[in-house]
Amino acid sequence: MADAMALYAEVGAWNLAALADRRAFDSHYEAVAGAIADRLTAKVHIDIQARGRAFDEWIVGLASMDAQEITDRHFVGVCASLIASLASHPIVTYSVMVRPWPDRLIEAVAKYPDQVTALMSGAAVYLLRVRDMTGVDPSVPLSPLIVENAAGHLWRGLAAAARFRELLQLSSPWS
Amino acid sequence: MATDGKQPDPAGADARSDERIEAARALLAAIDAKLFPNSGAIPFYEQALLIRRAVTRLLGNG
Repeated sequence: MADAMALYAEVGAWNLAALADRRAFDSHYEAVAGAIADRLTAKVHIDIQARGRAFDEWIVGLASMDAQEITDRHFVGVCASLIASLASHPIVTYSVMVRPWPDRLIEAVAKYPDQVTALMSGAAVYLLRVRDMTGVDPSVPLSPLIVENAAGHLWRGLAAAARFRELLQLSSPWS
Repeated sequence: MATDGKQPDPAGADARSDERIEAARALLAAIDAKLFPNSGAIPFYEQALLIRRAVTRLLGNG
């Protein structure tokens, strides 16, 4: 908590631009990984150097995007590139402390830890902003099978990141 | 390690990295301003709670 308060004092409040700060980026990722770990009753292990490489890759990708005439495609592209950058590095593992049997979600996360965490990280950015704008949560609770399927698509090819809304059944406020 | 006769330029690499971060930050700020003009900044402690809630909901149908 002390770290979080120090971050708040130094970086200010969260918005999209704050994610270009490495500490805010790390904080976002840790909140997502922590939530997944809580859901699984697991301990989370993060390779900080690998996460740093993902951050650098994401920044390079953003810096090369055309910033003229901003549309919703830019926002979706930012979320998708975040997912692709995080999924392309072996950053995270989860050690399950209690294994209720059978639990397909645990198996999905154990099989694709980086892909599930990457998808949740990008989805979280999307959800925070869209819900704030519309007042409606654009997500639905997913079955473990859908989570595993989405992560599997991402594992087979990073291009699947661009389809994160379809894969995670997130609705769009834009037609 | 230089392989082409040139010396490494860490100061130049840092500057390029800083420029990229500023370009990325500008893009993200422009998206927020254009698409979410009424969305305020979220305190970090609240953001962490919102993220946890969002992820828990997404993974909740177990």
